[in-house]
Amino acid sequence: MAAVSDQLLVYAILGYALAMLAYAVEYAFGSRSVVARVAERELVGAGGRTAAPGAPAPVAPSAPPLAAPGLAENARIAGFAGRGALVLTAVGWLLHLAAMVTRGFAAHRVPWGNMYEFIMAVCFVGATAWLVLVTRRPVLRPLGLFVTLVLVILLGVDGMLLYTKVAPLVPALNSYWLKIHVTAAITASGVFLVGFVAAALTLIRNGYDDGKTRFPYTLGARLPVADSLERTTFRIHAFAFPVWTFAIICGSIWAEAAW
Amino acid sequence: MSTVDERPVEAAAPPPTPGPASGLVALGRRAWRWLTSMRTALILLFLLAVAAIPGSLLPQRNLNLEKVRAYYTAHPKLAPLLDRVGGFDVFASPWFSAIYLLLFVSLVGCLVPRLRSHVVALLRVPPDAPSRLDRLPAHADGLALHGDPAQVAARLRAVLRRRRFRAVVRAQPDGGFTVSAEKGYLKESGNLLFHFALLALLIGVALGSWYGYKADRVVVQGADQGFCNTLQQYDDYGLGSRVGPADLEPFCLTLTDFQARFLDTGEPADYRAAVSYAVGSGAPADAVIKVNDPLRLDRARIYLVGHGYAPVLRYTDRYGKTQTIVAPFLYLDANKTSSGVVQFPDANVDPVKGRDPNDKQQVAFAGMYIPTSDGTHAVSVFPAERNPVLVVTPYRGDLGLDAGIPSSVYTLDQHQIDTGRLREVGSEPLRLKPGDSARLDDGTTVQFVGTRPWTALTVRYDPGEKVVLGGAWCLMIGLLVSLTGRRRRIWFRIPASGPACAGALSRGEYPGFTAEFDNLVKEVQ
Repeated sequence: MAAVSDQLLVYAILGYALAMLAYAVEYAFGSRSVVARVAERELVGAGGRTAAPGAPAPVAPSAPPLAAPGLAENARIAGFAGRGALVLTAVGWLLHLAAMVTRGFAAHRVPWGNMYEFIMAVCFVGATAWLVLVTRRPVLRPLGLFVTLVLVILLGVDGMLLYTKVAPLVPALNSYWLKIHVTAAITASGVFLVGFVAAALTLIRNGYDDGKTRFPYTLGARLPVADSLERTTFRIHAFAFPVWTFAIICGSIWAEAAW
Repeated sequence: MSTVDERPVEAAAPPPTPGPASGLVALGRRAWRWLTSMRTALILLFLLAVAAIPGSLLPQRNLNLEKVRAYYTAHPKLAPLLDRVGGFDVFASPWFSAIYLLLFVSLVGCLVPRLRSHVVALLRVPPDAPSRLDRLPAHADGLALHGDPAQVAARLRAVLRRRRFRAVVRAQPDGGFTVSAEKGYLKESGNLLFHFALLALLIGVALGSWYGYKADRVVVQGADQGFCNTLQQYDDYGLGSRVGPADLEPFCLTLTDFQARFLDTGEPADYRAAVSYAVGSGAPADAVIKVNDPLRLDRARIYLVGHGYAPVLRYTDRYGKTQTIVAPFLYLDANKTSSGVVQFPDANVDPVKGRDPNDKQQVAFAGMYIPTSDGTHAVSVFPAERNPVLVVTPYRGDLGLDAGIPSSVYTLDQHQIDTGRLREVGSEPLRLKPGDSARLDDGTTVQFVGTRPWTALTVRYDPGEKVVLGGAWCLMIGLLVSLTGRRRRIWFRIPASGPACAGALSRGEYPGFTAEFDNLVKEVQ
């Protein structure tokens, strides 16, 4: 069972890597205008929400007309690649889930009893959070490239450097607080993972809007508008932060019983 | 921490009277304003976290004196420098206290005015409608509200109150009415709760470090090896600054049984220590201490933090006197390869003439205990006792224990060996299995009786915990409320004649705000 889990994780990483590739294709072919226009439509569709007083006004995307046939062709490829990327992410997520479940069965306990399993679970929550987010707000799909990048790197490092053989819990971890504290910590960390991507890209987009032309800021051209990104970043953190607080409180209560 | 939503503009201070003191007053006021700003509080909070890092990286005196000594040996030049800046006593150092106190003052100075203005806001009725409602982010004109303006206003107020708005009707000089409504005061309440909880947390931690203590003790199994909760009996301890030796909970404890279960890989599976204890002059009681399951007394908790083996040696000296000594050996690795020394300071004392202080014939056996030997190497291959071997070198002479200098009970005094006052006996170490005996060159015998388990226990008391716990939960509630609460105001203006209009203002981000406003406007028409 443990070997099955290891295999499944490799396939899950592969799934995420392929998804990353597909997101990259979408990113490359999706012209700036497509991304920006979707963003605009989304903003309007959400009921004309108003910017908080003092917040920078959303940058009006300078949308060139979609008349040129080459552009239409590109947009078609981008859309196809984007949908493919989502499917691949979902497949990776399923494999990831299977890897965790088999790991849990192999160890006869919750599959987050050591650092290897912890990172695996954090990435799983991250992937889940991403799928939930992108389903609810499709405009954020360009972020997928960076989310899957983080997932692939983290899972790769996890599998290569932190791999641990299946073993029962050491006595210090053998407590029901493991299920409460660590689960909360994993949930918060996984959501923070997506929040990190959103926050980093908000900064990049902001820099791009300010006219910065050096490398990381050039990525901003194809991102959703900064305002939308910032709101998403806030929401993600507003969810994860209380969960994280809860995790720390539970950790302290556990510590009271542990030493 | 979110920003303050609303804060009445403070009345401008009266112009200071010119004079030499006014400069100082202005400086003081500026400093106070800087100190109590939210930005400063955040910086201080961050500094506190940064300042705690050396406290976890460097060994701390109040936690582990041995490690501090080891650090001094390993870094003879760096250690005194670090000590001068409080590196081994971070949480009691002046600079840490300075950050702590500044943060405390900053929070109080910031929160008290906020609390006052929030109370004022809670008591105050919502302000009158602004003159131009169409300037507001959400507004609606030409509302189909028919009837007597006064009745319409009353009806609107009823609708708003049903929606748990705080609403008030004002008559205008032109014969019309305005309805002002406000909702979402809970956001600032939560925000304040969060910050006051943070204060409680700080107080709780301070209480714990003043009135709490922690002490460590190795306890060997057996009724003759118990200990009582007094400072002399601890190997290591750290008392809070307001704790005296008499404040320790008076209990005595003996280890009656210890069981460790291991997996075949040598990984530990389970530890349990059965103890017998008595508090004060009370009746003795039995308890089991496990990892994650300490023994909880009223004013102390006892944790199981480690275990090892204590070899028991029986030595028969030249005068035929037999003594049995049990000495805990310190483990060196996960498989419990242990090292230590069994000392017989009262050996070879002539029963007639007494001890000759210049020719002490004290005896000690120093070496290794290997719970599971593979037969050749001096390293254990399993943490349980599957093939135990004791490999010890006998020493005879002056153990150096009578000088009154505290010394480690796990090693011999190297100085005594170097100066030749303590000499090795025989050419090679003794290799003893449980029950084995050996004869030394002077005809005395030593027998390896067996081992007893020992446990390392930590006794801890922290009266601030409950405050910290309560503070933490309040903080959590405050955080949730302040993150989900939404402060918004709605106004209706009903002129004496002509169509009514409405406007609304949300403070902070609230995506459903426009929808709520539209719904409300639809409902009242």
